[in-house]
Amino acid sequence: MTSEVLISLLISGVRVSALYCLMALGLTLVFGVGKVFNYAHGAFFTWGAYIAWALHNGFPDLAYPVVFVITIPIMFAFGAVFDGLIITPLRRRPGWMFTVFIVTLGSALFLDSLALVVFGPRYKSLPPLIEGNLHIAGSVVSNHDALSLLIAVSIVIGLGLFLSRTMQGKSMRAVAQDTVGAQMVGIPTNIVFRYTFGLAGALAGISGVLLAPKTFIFPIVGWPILIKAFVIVVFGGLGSVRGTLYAAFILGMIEVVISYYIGAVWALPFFLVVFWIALVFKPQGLFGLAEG
Amino acid sequence: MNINKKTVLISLSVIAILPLIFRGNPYIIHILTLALIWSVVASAWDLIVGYAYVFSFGQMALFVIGGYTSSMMALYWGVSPFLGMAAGAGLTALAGIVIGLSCLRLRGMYVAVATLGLHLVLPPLLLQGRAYGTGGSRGLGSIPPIEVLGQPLDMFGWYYAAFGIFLAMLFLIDRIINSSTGLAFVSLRDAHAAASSLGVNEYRYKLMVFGISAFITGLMGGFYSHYIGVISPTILGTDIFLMVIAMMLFGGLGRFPGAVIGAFAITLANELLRPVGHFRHLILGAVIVATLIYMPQGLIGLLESLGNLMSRVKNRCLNMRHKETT
Amino acid sequence: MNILEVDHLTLRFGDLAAVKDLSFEVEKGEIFGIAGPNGAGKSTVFNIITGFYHGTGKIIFDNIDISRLSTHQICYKGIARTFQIPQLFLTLPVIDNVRVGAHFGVQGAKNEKKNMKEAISLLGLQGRENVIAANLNLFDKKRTMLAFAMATKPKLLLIDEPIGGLSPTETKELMALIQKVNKELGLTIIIIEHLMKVLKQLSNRLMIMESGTNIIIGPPEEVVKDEKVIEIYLGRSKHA
Repeated sequence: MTSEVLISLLISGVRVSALYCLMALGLTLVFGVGKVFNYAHGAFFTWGAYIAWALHNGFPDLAYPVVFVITIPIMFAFGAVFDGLIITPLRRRPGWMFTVFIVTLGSALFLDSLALVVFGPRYKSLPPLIEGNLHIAGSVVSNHDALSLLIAVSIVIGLGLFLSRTMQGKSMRAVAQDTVGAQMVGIPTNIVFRYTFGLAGALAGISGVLLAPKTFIFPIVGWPILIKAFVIVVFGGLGSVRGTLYAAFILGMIEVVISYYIGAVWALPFFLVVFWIALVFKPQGLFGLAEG
Repeated sequence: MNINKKTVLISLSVIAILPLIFRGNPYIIHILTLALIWSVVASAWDLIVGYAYVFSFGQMALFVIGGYTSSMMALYWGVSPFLGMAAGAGLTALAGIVIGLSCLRLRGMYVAVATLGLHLVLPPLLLQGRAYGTGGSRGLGSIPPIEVLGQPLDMFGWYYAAFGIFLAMLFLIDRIINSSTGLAFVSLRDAHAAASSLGVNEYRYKLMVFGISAFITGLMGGFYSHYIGVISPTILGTDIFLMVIAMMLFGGLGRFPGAVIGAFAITLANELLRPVGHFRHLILGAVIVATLIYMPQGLIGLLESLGNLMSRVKNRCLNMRHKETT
Repeated sequence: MNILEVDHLTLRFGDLAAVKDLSFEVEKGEIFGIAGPNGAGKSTVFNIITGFYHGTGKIIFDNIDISRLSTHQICYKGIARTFQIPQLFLTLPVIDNVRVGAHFGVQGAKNEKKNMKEAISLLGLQGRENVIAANLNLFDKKRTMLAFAMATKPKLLLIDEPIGGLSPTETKELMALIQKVNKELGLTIIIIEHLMKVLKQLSNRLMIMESGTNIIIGPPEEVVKDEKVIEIYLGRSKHA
């Protein structure tokens, strides 16, 4: 392996990992705090990309980075409303985890179909955030990729600070550890669930806008990403932010290497095999919390 | 749920004569045949999820394994569909047991996650398996149909063949539910610690329910592939997956034979809504969410509650009349 | 003759030792009480004996080492239990609840119907066989739990805090039932309870646990007078 290939793989790996990480963090937070496995998370990704596309096409005078920034609070609201309308009302029922599981699946189908109906089946494309390429150490990296990496890393760091330093972040961690205890000390758990979902929506939406320019947008574009995020989250430990980080990077790196040497189409099967092995031998994942 | 025998016999008789009523309309008979197939698949799924509370979401994957096995055996080795279906069912049962083994120590939602993983793994594997004869993304076509006395079945033949398997499989499921095995499933579902302390071997029954539901599902997968003549990874799409789940939920989880009612209702609705195109999936998603929110015990649960309500009203009336006369 | 011997039992959850080097013996035919403050490890002992957890150390039941057996296997050997928070098959009627014990709990379910009838009449549940367990009141739930445990024809019965939530009359009834089962069927019973009054009346011997170990074992009248026990229950202010 030449040093050029190595660096190129490293850069791709870090970029891919960071983006998967964003997506996976949304899932992990919702599971850790809300105890919900949100199968509609992929639909959040899809809709984030579509909304950005709609804004970009509907308001051509808006600079694209501005569109990106506007999409974020829209997706936050999307997630928060989803929780408020559908998920949290069901928590009161016994056996709600199973019900919610299927409801999120049903919602995923609904949202995918809605996208199909509203936007039509033709593939759409999103432009990259900035055009142009960089030349680093002999390999070519697009500006968009570099920027994505920067954005992803900043968000991860920001999220870490948010969770450890702010009141809202700490509330989230409290609810994740002990929902009833958190209620007893006066934390408004329903609101915490709401903005956790909102955060997940925003993270998925950002991932959508960052990743979409590299592929196209179509109604079920969110699924492969969801599957990978799913695997990362389980591998790292459902509910553990640290675990998700490590898992995203390990799996992202391995995917890039496999894509390079064997072929990109084996990436997904590889993920799924890892997933299965992890579940059978260590269901709690790398840093996982107790079993089901 | 105890539906009285008369209702069962009447319903079965109605199903038996349906194709005669619609004999001028092959399309309707086709839909009814599909409804029969899905009834069995949904009932087998209900056995493991609704009765045993093992959240297996790999059932469609098992359906596909059964289907591909039987088809490939017929296409490449000239095996008769009867044998192929049986082999497919057996292989699928084995797969079910292997999956069960890997899920033994997993609780609740983790089983869902693991088995859904199987469901998600299969399409890429099938695509990559083109070199091994799986037909890649287009799947397998020209699958030999079931033949009786050298002639492929006609539409009546298919319907009654499906009906026969339907009767056999539902009878099997009914026997299991009402046997001590069914009791074991329910006891493990309701209070697994207490059940274990009373001598119920949890691992054994978990494996059993995986194996049985996998066998039945694999058998139907084989039948389906010979009936339609084509099988491809599209069966593993989210829409069909959720459709079968909707059948279970709509009828009533853990309320045999709710899944049968659900299967007929959803299959018919699915066909009626075909002209609407992609709105169909929209409605399906909405139906699932709505059923879970407003009718969590399914149709049979609703009927049960209505029955309870009516008997309470009847009692109240009787009491009032009694009061009036005294 | 000892029906149960627990030998140097230890169970750790991470850093916490729920049970620490615990040893005690239970004689055949006696009612053996276990008491102690919350978190002392009492229920954990039951969970270890019945195979829900496995610790280090040995458990010998009826001369058989059951330390490594799984829960259902331990049931076959003759140990049954009830649960502090009633665990019942809520979707099933009382009779089917008892049937689970009668069918699965006894090797070769030949006398299933007989065992069921006996358990139901023993616990006074006749007439309530067809009530769905979810609709039972607390007292009947506890009796149903005892019924299905008894239906497995055990040699040793572990009862976990049966009195909680019962009225004084129901408490009296339950205590009488426990004594009847012990005297008439010669069934050895280990009972965990908080109410000292109940334990004093029922137990032949009493063991007080604290922080996972046993502090003292002896006849109830002596145990309650022991200084260490009083300290545990009333705090150290006595010597302040």
